[in-house]
Amino acid sequence: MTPAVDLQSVTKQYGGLKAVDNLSLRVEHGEMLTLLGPSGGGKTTLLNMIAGFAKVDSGNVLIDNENVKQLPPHLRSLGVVFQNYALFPHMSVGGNVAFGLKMRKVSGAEVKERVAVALDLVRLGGMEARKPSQLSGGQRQRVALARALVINPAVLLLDEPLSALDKNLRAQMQLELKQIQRRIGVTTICVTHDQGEALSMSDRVAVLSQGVLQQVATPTELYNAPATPFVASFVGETNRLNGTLVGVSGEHASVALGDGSRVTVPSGGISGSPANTPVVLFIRPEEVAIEPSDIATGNVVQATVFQGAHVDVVVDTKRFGTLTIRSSQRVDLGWEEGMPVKIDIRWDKVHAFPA
Amino acid sequence: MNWHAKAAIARSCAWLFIAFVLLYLMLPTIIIATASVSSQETLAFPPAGFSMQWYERAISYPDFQSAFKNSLFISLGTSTLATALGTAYAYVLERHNFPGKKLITAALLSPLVIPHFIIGLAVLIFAVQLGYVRSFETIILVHIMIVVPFVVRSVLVSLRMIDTDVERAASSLGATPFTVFTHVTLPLLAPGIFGGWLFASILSFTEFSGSLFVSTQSTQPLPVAMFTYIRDFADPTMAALSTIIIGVVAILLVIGAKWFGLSSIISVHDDAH
Repeated sequence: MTPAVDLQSVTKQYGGLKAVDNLSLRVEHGEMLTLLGPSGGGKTTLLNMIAGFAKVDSGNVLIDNENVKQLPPHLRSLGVVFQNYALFPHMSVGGNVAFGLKMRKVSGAEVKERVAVALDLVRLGGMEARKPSQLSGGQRQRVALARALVINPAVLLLDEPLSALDKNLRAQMQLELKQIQRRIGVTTICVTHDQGEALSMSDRVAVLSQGVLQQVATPTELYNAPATPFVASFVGETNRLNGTLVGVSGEHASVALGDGSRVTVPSGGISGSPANTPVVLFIRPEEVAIEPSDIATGNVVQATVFQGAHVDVVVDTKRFGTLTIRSSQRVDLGWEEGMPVKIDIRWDKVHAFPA
Repeated sequence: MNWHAKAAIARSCAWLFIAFVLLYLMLPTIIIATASVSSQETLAFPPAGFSMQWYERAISYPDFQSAFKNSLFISLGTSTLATALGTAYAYVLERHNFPGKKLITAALLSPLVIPHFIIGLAVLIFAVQLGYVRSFETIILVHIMIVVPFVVRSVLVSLRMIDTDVERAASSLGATPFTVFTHVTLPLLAPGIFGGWLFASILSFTEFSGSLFVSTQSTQPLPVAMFTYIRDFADPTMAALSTIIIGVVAILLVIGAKWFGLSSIISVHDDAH
């Protein structure tokens, strides 16, 4: 089956700077793919090239196997939801949603019916006569979504769709967006810098940094098996240790740490590296066990960050420097500053990369 | 003296100062308006007696009547043409980048720093070459040069307030560039365009020095006719006519500021954003 969107070696330069660098990516029919990355990572540029708002310097953009590289936005039949909604302020809610249908010369009765259906879909039924200025942020977001969906777009593009909403509303809209997307099965590409949003909404996530595609994977894969140091440090929280590769044998690698001790870690990203290569080890806060100790251990609690269901304990360790460790122990057990603790790093959960 | 009392005195002083400045700025209007109702034959302040006879004369004086019609024609022609020109200009300046853009912007705004009578004089010399001496076209040509920078400014302010994503949204929904302009950009620009048009009309209607050299007895606009009148007569008719003009312009400005965002071109701060 042909992919819904096929990006082939797409490059875009601004001045001498490559905003998107030789990027290839396939988006399957009906899937929700998120472009995740820090601002300036090239994700919005990529979205603009798919939508036709930015010219492609080299490479091809195929939508349903048709090269749309030279097509202007109005001939691409894509639904776009903008960060600030971009509703037409001089039109009513109904007028906004009907706009795309009128451009397609759909008959009056049908426009009315389809607008009503689209507004029902986003739970704004009967709000046709309102003006955008009379709506809340969440409602405007829904109107923008209805306006993009009513034209049955080949692909739905979402540009930081939830970033302008407050935190509670955002979580609710995340869920709703995902449900609507599932129900109508529209191929969706979403841009976000919020990893929580990316992990919770997407079928697959594409991580971009400095215009280069780092990894495309399901949220679980991305979290459990990051392909590059960037992904390991950008997605989820992590601790970073430096070391030197001693040797690789199959699935395992032996790494010498700063204090001279050796540990065995999964060889993953360093399986092809020669001995003496400097390496960097990433270990997530929840992959380190922590328990209070009666005697001095060389590890001392520096600070604690209460997170509700768990506590992040910042520990000053003799061997590894400062580590953040996640404890699900109840807070009233108490992690106090200055108390000695025993820690145990699950070395088999470490992600190793050449430094 | 405690802190509160000091603050109260300081506040009173500030209000007093503001009142003085306002009074100073309003002084010409106050003097003209008071002098216009005098029952005496000469223009004087303070006036003696009360009479509306000068208003009657101002309205019935034939030269003023024809000059008023001239002014109306000139100001409508000027503002309409200047609005079309200024809107197109502002759109190109805001939405396109091209070499020499800064130079063209500077050239466009230069009438702001050139004395208006020099523009009039220059156009007169040019018009003589073309055989178009002192016709309505010549006056309108001069006025357009004077008012176009204001129209451009008004439209630019409105253009900058339009979220370009709104236009992108329209194009993603299938609108051609032309439809985007007519269905989205233009309606959103309308207040700025109308504000620019209104301001251009008022500026053109009250323009004097730019019109002086390029008008004749038959084409002279109202301010020139008033100037001619005051050279021959010293009665309060001029004051009465001025008061009418000030009143009408003030009403138009208030309407413009309230409904069409005119404040963005005439005030220092822009409260729309």
